[in-house]
Amino acid sequence: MKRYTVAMGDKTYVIGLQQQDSENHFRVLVGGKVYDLKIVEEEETDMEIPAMEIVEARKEKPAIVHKPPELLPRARKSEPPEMPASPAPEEELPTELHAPMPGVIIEINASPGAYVSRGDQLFVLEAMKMKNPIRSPRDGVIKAIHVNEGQNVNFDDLLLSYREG
Amino acid sequence: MNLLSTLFAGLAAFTWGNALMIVVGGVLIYLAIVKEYEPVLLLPIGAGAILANLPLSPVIGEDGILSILYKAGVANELFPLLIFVGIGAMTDFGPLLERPHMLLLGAAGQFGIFGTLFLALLLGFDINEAASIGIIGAIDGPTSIYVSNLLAPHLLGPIAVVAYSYMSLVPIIQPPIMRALITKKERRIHMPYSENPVSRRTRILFPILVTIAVGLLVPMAIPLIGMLMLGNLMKESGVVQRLVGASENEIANVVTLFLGLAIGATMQAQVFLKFDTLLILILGIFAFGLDTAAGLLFAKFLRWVTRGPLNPLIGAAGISAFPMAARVVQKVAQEEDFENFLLMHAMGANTAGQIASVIAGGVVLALFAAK
Repeated sequence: MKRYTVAMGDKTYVIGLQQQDSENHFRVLVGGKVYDLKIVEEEETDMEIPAMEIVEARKEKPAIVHKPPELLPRARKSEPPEMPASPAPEEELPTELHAPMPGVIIEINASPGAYVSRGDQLFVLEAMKMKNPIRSPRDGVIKAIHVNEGQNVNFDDLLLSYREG
Repeated sequence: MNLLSTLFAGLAAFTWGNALMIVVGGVLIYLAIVKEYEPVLLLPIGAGAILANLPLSPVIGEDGILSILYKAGVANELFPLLIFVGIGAMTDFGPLLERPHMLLLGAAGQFGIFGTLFLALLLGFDINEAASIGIIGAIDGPTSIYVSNLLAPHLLGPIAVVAYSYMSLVPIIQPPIMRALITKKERRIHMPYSENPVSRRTRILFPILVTIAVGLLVPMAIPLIGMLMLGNLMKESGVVQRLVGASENEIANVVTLFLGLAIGATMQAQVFLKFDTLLILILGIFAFGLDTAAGLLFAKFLRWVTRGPLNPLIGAAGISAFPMAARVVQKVAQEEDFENFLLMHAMGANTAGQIASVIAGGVVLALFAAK
């Protein structure tokens, strides 16, 4: 299963997507409910989605095309429409992760492009001879890691950034 | 026949007490190796205990190696003081200097000394013995050794063993008390990391001024605080790296080995296997618990007074066990909320606890050492 964290407006949804037998057939998990999803038609158009509704998806790899749900034979609009909210945090998601205290990054447990969930361990920061796990404050895809193993960091140094959102 | 009895003289002199103490030594070694409880101390202590309890062992006696070590460095207080130089050289008072109010928590963490002292008096120990047992509540090995050797040298063995064993058990003793006294909600309090860099001048002046101030107030604490701060002054001065390196490595390591062996040597069956030892074992854990509880409650009180963002958990770090106590605070806080980093605050309280325990040791000596 692929897991996507989707920010729509100021809400965030976590969506599970699993490809079924055929290339156009998926099983989608949204807010605890399972949907069967078939891509009926796929085409490039010149039309553009108006800027207002900011919709985006983040994925682990740009592998599968990600298209709207079953039932409605609707045209394009890149994302599933209104869907039951998964119990995701409402507050604004941080786009960056900063060092909570001075220390040395002795381990990096994530890599750019990887999807991480809230609570996943990203770094080990050794401070005052204690190894402290630094965990992800949010679900999201890592855009970049800004430190190296063995690097000294000060309080509030940028450690990692998340992809847009 | 005569030859045989000479050959087996050792066996003949072997007592149940010796056997038991060899088992105790074995347990200490086991704790050191398998559990890694303060291994650098408990392993030599355990070895010393075994060596000292082998009957007719020449390690004890006029030219016995353990007796020499004891006389050279424990009876005259030399070893604990040398270790303090190393501790000072290893300690970064930065987290405390950035948050001077943590000193209050360090003071609260010494409550166990006096609470335990009174309890020991009630249990029938004389005043010097009670004070020595109370000093376990400083949760500081060298201070415990220093004070008890002056006040009640016959209890040195049990007190040192209890102090060091429990110190390594801080991560087990403290968390239940912390969870019991501090509500879930309080444990989740974040404390903003305040970075007010401390100037080099402050860092250098601090050990000097503390030594003078404490020395004037509590002369009995001068050896302890003086050595601790000497080590720290060398570290902060930045110009005597070789001395700092020697203090925190070679000297501290060698002295720790000697100290451990000498302490182990005090654990001879006839001295150690007494009901008093059992009482000290119980009083010791009481002292640790009382320190922790007092620190936590005082931190709660501080939070109530200041209404500031203060997580009462850091009160548990106001003891000398460094850096275990601060780590425990960090761990317990993170159980509730992995984004909560209290470590630096706890370190501040912890180093305050180190200073306060040394001062408390001096106070106890001043109060009770009057011959």
